Amino acid sequence: MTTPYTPRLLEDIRRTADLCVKCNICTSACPVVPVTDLFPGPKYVGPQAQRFRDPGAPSPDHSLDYCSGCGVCTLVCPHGVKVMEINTAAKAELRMRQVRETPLDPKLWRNTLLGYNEVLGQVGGLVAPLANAVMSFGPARGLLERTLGIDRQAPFPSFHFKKFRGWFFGEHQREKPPTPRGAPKVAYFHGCATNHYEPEVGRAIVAVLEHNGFEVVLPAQNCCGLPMQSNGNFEGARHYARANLRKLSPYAGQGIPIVVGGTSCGLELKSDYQELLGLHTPEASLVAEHTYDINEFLRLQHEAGRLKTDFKPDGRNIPYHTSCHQKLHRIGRPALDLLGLVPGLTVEEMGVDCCGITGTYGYKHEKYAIAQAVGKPLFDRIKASGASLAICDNETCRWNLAASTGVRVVHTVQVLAEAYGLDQAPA
Amino acid sequence: MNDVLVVGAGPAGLLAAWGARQRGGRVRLVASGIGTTHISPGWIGVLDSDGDLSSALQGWIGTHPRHPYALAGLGALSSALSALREVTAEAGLEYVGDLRSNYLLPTALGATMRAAVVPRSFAAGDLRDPGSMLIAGPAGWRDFYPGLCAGNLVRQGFSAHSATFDLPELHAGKFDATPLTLARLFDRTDVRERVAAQLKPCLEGAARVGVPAVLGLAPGVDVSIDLSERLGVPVFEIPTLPPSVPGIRLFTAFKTALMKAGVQILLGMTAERGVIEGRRAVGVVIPGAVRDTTYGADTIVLATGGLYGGGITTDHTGAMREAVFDLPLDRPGGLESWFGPESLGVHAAHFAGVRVNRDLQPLDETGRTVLENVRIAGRLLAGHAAEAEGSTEGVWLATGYRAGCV
Repeated sequence: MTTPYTPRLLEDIRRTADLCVKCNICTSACPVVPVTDLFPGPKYVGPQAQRFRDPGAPSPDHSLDYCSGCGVCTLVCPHGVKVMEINTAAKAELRMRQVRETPLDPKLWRNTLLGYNEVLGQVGGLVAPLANAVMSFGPARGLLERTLGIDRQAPFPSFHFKKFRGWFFGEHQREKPPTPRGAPKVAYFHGCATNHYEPEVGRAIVAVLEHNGFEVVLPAQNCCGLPMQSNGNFEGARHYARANLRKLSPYAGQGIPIVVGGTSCGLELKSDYQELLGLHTPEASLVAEHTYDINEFLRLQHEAGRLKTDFKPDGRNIPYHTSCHQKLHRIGRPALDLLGLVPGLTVEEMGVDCCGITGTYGYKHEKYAIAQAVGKPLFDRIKASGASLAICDNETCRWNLAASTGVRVVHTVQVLAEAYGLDQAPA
Repeated sequence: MNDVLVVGAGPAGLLAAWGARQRGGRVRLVASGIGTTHISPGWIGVLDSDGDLSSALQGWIGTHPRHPYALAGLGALSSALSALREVTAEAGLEYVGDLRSNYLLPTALGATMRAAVVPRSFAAGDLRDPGSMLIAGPAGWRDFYPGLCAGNLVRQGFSAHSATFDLPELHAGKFDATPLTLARLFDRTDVRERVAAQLKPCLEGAARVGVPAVLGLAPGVDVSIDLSERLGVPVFEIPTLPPSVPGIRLFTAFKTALMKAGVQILLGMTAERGVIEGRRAVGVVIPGAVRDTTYGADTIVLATGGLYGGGITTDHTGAMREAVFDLPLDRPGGLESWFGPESLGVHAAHFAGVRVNRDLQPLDETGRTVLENVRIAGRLLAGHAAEAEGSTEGVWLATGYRAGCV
């Protein structure tokens, strides 16, 4: 709540408001606008409101809070306006005002709590069976909804005693075949979700990288900070960001690529630390330059002729949802390019922009129905496909799709690991 | 397999991608964002001409040998229109009309424009038909004034009167309604029922009813037909301020067809520069969140737009540059070429663009092919002033189609 942020590039984001010609293409593409009267559209709360936002003056519009932050507006804008980024920065100011003026508002507390998903995973994991029982116990969820406004139907993942890191440093180090001499190293940033909730994603990524001759190392790491950032808590997010930069820069300094499994965490390391949080440090750019989305990294290996393609044929037809944050990496569709290497496999991109959940947005009681309505066309398409498996490369989107369609949803690399015949739970 | 990269998501790029995919190419389409569909009326103007359009087009290419129509060929224009019909029909959109004559259609201001092929929902607005019109729109909507439209039509000798209807939903929220807000309302049967009930007593013998082009977005239901049935007279759409609902329907139809055909559509991806080896383009460089990626292809279609679309960049001195490959440009003059007595009249600057041969390959000043595997489509082409000629959409489609024949 302290540092006023006027760092260099953030200024640039705000200045992109001047590129807006008011064509409303962003409003026409916004997935939230069609399903609620509470949000006027990205043009209005973004570049249009921006001209009324003086430093220190109150944010002009509370409807900003209903922006889900998916970023579709930024992607469709033909003029280079960073609409979503303008909104995210404005949300941080809105939160600072709430902290000053309505510090006891339960929604503020809820938003703060949702930013601490790493801590939730740690604490929940310690008492996993109890935590899982509570989170699947209707009255408890009802209480959570009434007190904190966390929707009772929102898709929480299961807590685990056993963490991904525990597996990696324990069982895996004991059992893996010896690393070939001179194997290139890859540092894996797994993020909170893989460590606490979906260790199978991490195991698949490690297996695929090792199969391709890499030595996987696991840097110390913490939450990327996005849950705080998207809830306007920039100060908390910066705290996480600085810690990660400290932990990751030694790897980047040695030229070791940092691969990230979750598309949102990856975007934090690549651009948000600098562009949104304003951490314009040599460390931040060093880490960014060495950060790769796992699919991007594997596609680069393939382009360089270094990716093994000893895939077993797979006759399935699998729906693929491109997460919003994946699109913001601006790397095309590496997942589709990789999955296209598996003989016989048909992967159909769903072509629906957003699943609705956008991180913590869909967990909030007042937004749950909006998020569900945003995702409905996608849920319907996946259900209509008749497939029993779908692919999406971002965590909360996966949980949302699985909960809303009843279809199992996995990461691209889990399907690749299976096609390689690696020892994995089948995807 | 031919790897084709299309740069640009306007109609030229979309049709080029469609054509290339139909020919079996592996196609990717990249663009900075959504293109001109969303700010276009949705109809296809090919040449501002009354009377026999085919002979006017023949005459035109005879007297304008460097015009995109002359280079791509009128056959490409016909084929492009067939392809357009095929793609849109799949989405339940019907385009009517042909190259024999133009429709004469009202604009939101009550001016007139000509278009050869139009969404079926526009057809009943043809002003060559003497039938009197009721021009109607929702009361209190800032984007369309029925009285203004009808008044200007009357001034030009057409028979029209106006009425408004109440749509409480429009004012229920605290936010301004865009054409899309209205289109989503018109997707609802109850709204159409209420609007028809209000308009029926206002018909006063009108042979047809014109409303802003907001008659529905959802696929499958033709709202203009539904309203026509309720009112007992044909209902037609009139283009609005952006975003254009008919343009969005067109974009959605292409996006759906392309994705179904396995074309990757990548938005938010600006082709910053090209990579050239000798007389071939190897690929284009697209900056990602941290690093550039080079998208290679056997054939690259540039459909990046002209001066107004970003395909040609310029500065305060009037200097012009082709944005991706820095291709040689026909530059019609300095800053003075930007000015003229009418804003939509012929300005020398509008002729700026890339000169091409019949395969739409870019040429240098001496007429030599600069990059063999690059095709230019749409407004980036030199030799036409689309705005003054009324050829905007026709050139998009004819050259998009031709460029996709790879």
